[in-house]
Amino acid sequence: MRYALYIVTAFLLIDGDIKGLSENADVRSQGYVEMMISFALFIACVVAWVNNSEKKKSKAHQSASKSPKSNLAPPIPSKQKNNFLPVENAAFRLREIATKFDDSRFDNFFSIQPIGVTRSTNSRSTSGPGALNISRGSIMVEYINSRSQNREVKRVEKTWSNVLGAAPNRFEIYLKDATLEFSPQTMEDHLVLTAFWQLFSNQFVPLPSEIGKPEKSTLGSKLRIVAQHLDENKQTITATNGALDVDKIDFSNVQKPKPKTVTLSPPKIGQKIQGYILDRKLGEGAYGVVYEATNIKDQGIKAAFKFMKIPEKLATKVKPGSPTYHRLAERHLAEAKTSLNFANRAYVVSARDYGMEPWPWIIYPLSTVGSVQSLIDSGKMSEAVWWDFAHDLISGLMSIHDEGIVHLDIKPDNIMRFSDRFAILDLGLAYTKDYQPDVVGGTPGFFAPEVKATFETKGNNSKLGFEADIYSAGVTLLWAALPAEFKVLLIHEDPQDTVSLLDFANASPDAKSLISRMIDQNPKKRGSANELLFLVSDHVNLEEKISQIEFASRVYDQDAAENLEGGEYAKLNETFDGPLTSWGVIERELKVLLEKVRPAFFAFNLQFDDESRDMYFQAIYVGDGWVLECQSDQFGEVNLTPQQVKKLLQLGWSAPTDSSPNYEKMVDGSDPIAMGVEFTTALEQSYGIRPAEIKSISISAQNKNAY
Amino acid sequence: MASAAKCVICERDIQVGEDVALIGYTDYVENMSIVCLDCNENGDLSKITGDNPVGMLQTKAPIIGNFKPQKTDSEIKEFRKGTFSGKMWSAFESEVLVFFQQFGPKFASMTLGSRTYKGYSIEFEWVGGEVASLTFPGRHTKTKPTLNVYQMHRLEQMGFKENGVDPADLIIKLSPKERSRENVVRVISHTLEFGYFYDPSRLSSISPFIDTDE
Repeated sequence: MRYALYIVTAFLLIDGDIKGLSENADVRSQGYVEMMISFALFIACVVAWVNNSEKKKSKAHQSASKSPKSNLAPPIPSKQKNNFLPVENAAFRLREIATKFDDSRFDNFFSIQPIGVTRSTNSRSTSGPGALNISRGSIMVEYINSRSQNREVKRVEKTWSNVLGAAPNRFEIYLKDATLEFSPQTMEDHLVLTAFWQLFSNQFVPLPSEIGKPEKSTLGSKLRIVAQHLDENKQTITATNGALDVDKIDFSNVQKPKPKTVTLSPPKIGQKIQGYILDRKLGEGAYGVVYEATNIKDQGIKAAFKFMKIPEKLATKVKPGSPTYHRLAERHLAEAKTSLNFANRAYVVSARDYGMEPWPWIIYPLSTVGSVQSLIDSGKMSEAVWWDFAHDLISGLMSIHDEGIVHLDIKPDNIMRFSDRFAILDLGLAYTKDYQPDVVGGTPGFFAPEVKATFETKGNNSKLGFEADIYSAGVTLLWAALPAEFKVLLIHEDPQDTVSLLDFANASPDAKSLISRMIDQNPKKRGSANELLFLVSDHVNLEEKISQIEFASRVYDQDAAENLEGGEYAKLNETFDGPLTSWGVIERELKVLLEKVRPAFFAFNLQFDDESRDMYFQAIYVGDGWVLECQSDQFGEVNLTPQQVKKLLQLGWSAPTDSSPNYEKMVDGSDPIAMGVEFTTALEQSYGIRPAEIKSISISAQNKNAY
Repeated sequence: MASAAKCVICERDIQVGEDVALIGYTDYVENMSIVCLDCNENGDLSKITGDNPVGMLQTKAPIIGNFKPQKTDSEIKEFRKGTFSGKMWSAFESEVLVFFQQFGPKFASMTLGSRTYKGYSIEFEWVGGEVASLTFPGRHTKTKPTLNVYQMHRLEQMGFKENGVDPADLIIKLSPKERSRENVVRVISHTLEFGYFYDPSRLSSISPFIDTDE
């Protein structure tokens, strides 16, 4: 029966070719077509004969198995006999499928084409050559009904929820209105499909939704074990014409993945975060809450943690983890990112670090000498200190404006007092000049008249310039010079009347002149920070200020040098334990590393269950891209087989040389995930490493913020 | 295997294909000396370069004269020690010295590129084969980036005199004892580093102007 079927199938396939060829008769002669028919019939007969012989040989083995052995592929061509390429290729593809299955970003698992397709309903059955595509969301089949006159391609696409079931011992799925059966045409395709099918039919059809949740499935791990089985038994599998029974493979080492859950919740006093413990709340604004925190290891180190605050009007609507939550979080962290522009500036506070979990946070240095308000309350805001305050505030503004940024929320609460200087903080409302800010805010009494006008008219805020900050700084200086009873008036005063408060300020004529200029109603008359500093310079020790500026710049510069030279400050050493459930762990860690640490060099050292074995992969940033390196035989005991080396080269890696002793690949690095996939693909498909084998990974990186 | 050259220090034959070090000014490759790797690591390079290995200018402040350095030798060394910018400044000094030595009075000026310093230049007045005065950019409010209060303060402290109003230049006349090429180079780097607080990452965008008519 099978003999006859193959002849018919072959003929029908060729019949299709004849039609196509005949339509193109100007280039192909009728004699050529006849020759092709004869040749095809000959091949079909040979194929059927060989298949029949092989079938007999493997009959005993087949009868012992309940897997889809009845769908054994047609025999492999004689030139492939006695080599294991189809089995090796199938193992390669299974690892590829496992990689894709474990990573929810991949939708398409694999395609097989050509493949014989038979669609049967209650009343009729059609069949012909076609293609099968298995993806996370659906199964898609295309085929040509060989008996049809019009030869049009028929397409069946069903989501997994519309698949009623799958046969355990045939490549057959049951739909509401039909069944679809598949016949792979090569041993390689047969092995891929049978491995997937046997695992799939056991594991997924009762719970099709799991296919969309790789983190809950062990299918990826099992596919890798099957791939390993193919590699280890390729001789037997080849000899038995692709017989594979996954039930006989030991999957006992496969563990159900333990889903990592991250609880997103607002901070509480006493909570530990980033090596600190939250001591007390320092303050709260519209968009953030600030806590004082103590370093757990060194009680002498304090820091300020600024956490995101969801605005009250959104508090009940925004769920942690939702897209809106993430948008708010991004906006919160933008403040920290902006502040990094000023890491080498003396009069602007720069964030030390920032992150998302358990709740979007930013670490700032914490001053222990009290606020500007406390300085005034203690009566120590002398004329000289006031001028220092003015200088540091205006100089900080100059640094910010030099970067093209408008702060837009200058006020006393946003000036941090240190033992030797003052510095501007909170760039939460800052935006790049000439660009429309996302959020416009400010503090009544301190924002400039043009800002107020913008609020009132809900107009375009992109016209707001550096002058708005100069005005707010002027009001802040006025506030510092006013007696307590007048300070409160500032908040309620109309900007038009703020000038009148100058009469009550405890300030010298020069100071009043400076303030008066800064709070001029006409933005153009206020002067730039640079111009104003010339007015301040006679009242401060300029050489001391220059020293502070030089020192800030130098500390930053020294850090940079240490970073490049691998100083401890810059080194990142992190270890996390396996076994890994998927390659996604490495890819995610790499993404975080590249986006947050931005190192010039990193290395991942993998420790395996077998403690005598380890390996590394690493990369170095070379300005216009990254050179990726995977460990070669020259370092440690990697012991790659010629086939593994060949696969590595097929994946685009360069062979080791004297000057570059590892396997190398150059990538542009613009997509960190793609970079991670380069590594994990090589690890899995060439080095034959399974995630579950990895006992732990230590990551080291050097030269922070290198690009 | 045939020898290709001799090491200029130990005079050992160097074989074809052997790794060697080249020592000298990279601008004049043909004049660079071939040294074997052992001598490069351990040999006495002064045989080739004298007391000034590989043409690097010793890190020192300019001598005190009309120009008043704002940092001492030790402060400059401390500043440059272990920093990126320190290495950049030292390399910059060496490169400018090469231009002075190679082109002499034809080396008329240097332009400071990049957005921050657009339009800035440093001009040299040559008298009898020596640089007698240096002109640096001063206050500008329209045509060029303006100087800030810290720059103006430092430049005045260094002894620069303002010439013109807007735009203004800053000029320093050097006394004869200050006119050695090494000292002029140090005056230039000192002025840029501690007067203009020049961003060292922009040093590569400084270009010399060679007056071929000179």
